[in-house]
Amino acid sequence: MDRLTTGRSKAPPLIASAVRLHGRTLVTNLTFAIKTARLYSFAHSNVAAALNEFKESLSAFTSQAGSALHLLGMDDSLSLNEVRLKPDFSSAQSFQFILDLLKANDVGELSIQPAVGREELEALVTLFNTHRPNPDEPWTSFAAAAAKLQLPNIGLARTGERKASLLDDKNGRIITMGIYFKTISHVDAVLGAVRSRKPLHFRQLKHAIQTMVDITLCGEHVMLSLANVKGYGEPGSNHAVNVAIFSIALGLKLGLPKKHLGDLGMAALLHDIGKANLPEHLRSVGQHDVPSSDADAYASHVHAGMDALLSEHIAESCVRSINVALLHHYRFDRTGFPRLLTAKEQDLFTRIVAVADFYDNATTPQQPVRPAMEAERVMHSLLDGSGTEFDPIVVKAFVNLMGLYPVGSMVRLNTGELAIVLEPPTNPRFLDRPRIKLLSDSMGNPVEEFANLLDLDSGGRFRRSILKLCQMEQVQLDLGEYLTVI
Amino acid sequence: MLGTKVSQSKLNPGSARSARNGSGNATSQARGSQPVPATAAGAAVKELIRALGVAAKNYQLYPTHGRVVAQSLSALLDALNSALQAAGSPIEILVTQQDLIFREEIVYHEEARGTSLANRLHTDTVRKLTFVGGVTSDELTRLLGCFREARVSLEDGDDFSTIFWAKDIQHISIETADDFTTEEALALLPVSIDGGLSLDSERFKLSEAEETSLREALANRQETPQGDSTFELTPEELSRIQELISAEENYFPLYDFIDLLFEHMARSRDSVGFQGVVKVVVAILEKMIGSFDFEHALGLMHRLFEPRKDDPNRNQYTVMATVMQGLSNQETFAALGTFLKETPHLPHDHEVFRFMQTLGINALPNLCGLLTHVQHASAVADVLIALGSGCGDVFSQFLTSQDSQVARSIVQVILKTDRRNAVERVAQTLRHPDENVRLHAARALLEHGDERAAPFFLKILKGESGPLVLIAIQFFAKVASPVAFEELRHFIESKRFAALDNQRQELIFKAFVLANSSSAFRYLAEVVLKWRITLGKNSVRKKAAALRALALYREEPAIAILRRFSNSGISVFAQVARRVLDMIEHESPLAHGSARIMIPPGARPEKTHG
Repeated sequence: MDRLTTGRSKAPPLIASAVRLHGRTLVTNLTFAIKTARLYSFAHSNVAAALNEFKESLSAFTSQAGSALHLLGMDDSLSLNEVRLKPDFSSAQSFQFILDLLKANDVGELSIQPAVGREELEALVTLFNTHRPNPDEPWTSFAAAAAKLQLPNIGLARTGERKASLLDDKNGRIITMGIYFKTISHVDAVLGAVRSRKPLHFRQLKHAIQTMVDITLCGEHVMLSLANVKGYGEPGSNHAVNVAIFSIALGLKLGLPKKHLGDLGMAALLHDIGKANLPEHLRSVGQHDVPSSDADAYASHVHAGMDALLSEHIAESCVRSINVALLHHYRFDRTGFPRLLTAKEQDLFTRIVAVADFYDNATTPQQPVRPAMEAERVMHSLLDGSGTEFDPIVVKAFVNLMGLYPVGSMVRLNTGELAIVLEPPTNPRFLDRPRIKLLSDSMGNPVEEFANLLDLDSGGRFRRSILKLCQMEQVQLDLGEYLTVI
Repeated sequence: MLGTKVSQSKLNPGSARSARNGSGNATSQARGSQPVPATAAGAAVKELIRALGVAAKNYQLYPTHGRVVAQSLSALLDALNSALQAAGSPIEILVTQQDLIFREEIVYHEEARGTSLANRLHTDTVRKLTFVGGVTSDELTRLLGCFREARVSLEDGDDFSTIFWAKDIQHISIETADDFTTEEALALLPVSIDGGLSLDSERFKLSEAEETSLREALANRQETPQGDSTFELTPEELSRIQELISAEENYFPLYDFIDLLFEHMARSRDSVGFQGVVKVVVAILEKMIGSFDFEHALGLMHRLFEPRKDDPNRNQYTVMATVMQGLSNQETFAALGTFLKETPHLPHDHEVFRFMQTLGINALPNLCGLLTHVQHASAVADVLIALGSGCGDVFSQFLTSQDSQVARSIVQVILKTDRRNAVERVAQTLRHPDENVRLHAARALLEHGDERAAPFFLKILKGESGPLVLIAIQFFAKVASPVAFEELRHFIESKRFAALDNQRQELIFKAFVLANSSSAFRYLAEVVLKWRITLGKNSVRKKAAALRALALYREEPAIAILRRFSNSGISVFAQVARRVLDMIEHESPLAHGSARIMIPPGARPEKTHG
């Protein structure tokens, strides 16, 4: 018995962003209802209010979506009616709570029909609060307990094969890759236009950035893994797109709304536009790799960026790009460049881009000067600059977003297995334990399965740990191989 | 996968094609002016499109919170609800270059590219527009905003679909023709991804020493199942993040942009470059004005002209001022006019009026034109007053405006902005063809109370117009005017005096006393009050008024006369005299509630014997 009640309806007519909005509310309200019921009886006004709130948010969702609620738990993420939900910091705890609850009972899907009554909801909450999962057969015992209850409008299904199909969205991956490389070529074109003093056209860049935001809203992992591609296209273009990816993902993590993510992405994409006219050897390097003899020339790129963006027809959203282009090296403590006559605070976009810019520069090899820095070292450098060069809160959010091993990087486990980092860790207590996919077993035989680095062995120790990050250039991974494996 | 932006291949171009070529009716109808859908659902959707077109146009032409937009928005909502009722949810409309197609019926057809809604959407990569039940008025407003913003934003890198995307509308979605389909995406990949990864063990091999040191490092990490809380966000940090995000909601980047622009220009004193930059700012401002966003336009103007450390040099200021003059153009005033017309109720301190003030004195003639908006005339006049000190020449051109509202308002403006020549300028209006304007000007001069207006009122006093003459009398009763003495005496002696009521007769005497107090007292004491026989009611009233006028002349001779009358046998005069005496003794206000007239020091009466 893998499914207690069926009744999956067709895809919701609501657009994905609306589903996500409802999703955050539903998950938060459900968490609150379950937690409150742990403290008080159902007769208590607090519990009644919490259940009412959940019921109201459920009705709002089902009436607009025209279907039942289908909440799907997949390892470290939740999906609502086929739309993957992305928690921001304010909803992260509720997401984790529901995920843990589902995982403990091996529940893969929770469906609630619009006609669900108060008694059923109380029964469901009681079930979650009182049932003691059997570690050996969590689903069997949970399903048996659920079967004893009258829950005609609530469906529960075991964690099953659906998650694989959702995770392995090959078409989605290819589209994402296509957008990534196309955006790089658009940036190439813009940089070329700056160099030849031709008018700049941002329309295609905007379409690309908005699509990147849409993809990130569905799940940032493919985008983040593409940001490991370095040095493709004209010097600086690949970096610009990577910074945009990191910035969008960080903005989303912080809770910025969709429109702002689009503007942030554009600002990130154009932050180094002023480098277009620098000598080639300075175009693709970060501030910390610039020889002192070139420091002045390098510093001029922020003003050059502003000049380039000051066309006669700039949109309001471009204004943010201009601010970012001018101030992304200004530093959080206002001691960077350019020197301003009146000290100003960097806006949030600039603070985000400054961190993303630093990270991508540091993780990009600067041949022949230095290899790519390991992500862990970069994080330490970011933390060193926290409060001086960077906004501490943005740094901390970024560390939470990325974890210690970048998505898409290959890692060697202490078991001898080889794996690829699939998604960043969702639990900030285990930043060195991202979601991974095994590529080979300890003998070197190819395998393809997901592994959870948080799984414990019988002795209470982690079953697997990451031993080493295999940088792309260290294992001589070419682009084709890399794109295959992510 | 991609949310609202779905590739064209996911649509069914064949269905659109069949709609144009397959269905004989639809196609032949489409070749005419407008298609006539065969089904009720099609007809309802056609009406929805029509309402959408009208509302989009109105939203572009009129202020968003004005009456016209409200009406067309309401009509659009009604049309949408009817369409949803007739066709069910969702309503999916395919977009081609000339047509909008609903369930294979053409519901809109327009071949002229410039005016075609279909062509506009198609050009901006929209291939399908979907309405889902539950659309709110706010969502429709946002949709209309897309049409308006897209029209002005093409050169900024925005089109309908990018603007629509940013609006994040829950019950309306579009599908666009971005070439991010799987096949094309594959073609975009720089390398083949079919090869797979070679897991050659040598590639990933660790040396024995490295493996040992890594394992030691791992063991030293001493991880616990509870993990490390170093990077967990504290409640304070979480609330700080929430603050940052909500601050971002209200953040208006243009203000910072202006600051940075000046910083940027302070670095380079290149006036040509500066001119280009200021043009950029003007373009932004024009866009704000065009969309009636006067709040931000005002903020931006303040930011531009506020004192700063990095003040541009004089040349740059000249450039800035010159370029800014370009803002006082027809488009700006058309937008201001439309806004005022569409929003009848605005407080005097509304941003739109404060914005007007930032336009400078070159805008005065155009601003005067805005006085035609009756509901806002007073607020616009305040703007002119704040802006137009010493600009009497400009304003006086409007004194003879055929629009009495304008002329009336300008009188007020001139009196407050042109102290030196105000009276002479306003006096011109006393000859305005519209009597209301003449009266208004006279009242304004009366209120202004400047003695230089006396000659003009003197002419009026000689004239026939009743209301104007009364204002002239009020003026002379307020402002001491010796030149008016003789004319006032003639008036008192004329039949016109008898036609006045008690209050106005008294006012004449006040004016008379004020014009020349000693001569007036003599005239009152020796002529009016010495009449032995009162010839009828009018004479009694005149004598009583004269007695009351003595209160203005509080010298001993006047008091003696009053005492004499109070002891006389004629009760009506005794009564008046006693009351006046009483009033003088108690320093109370005069009868009829009018204020006591203070005789100017230069007009003190000589001591005379009554």
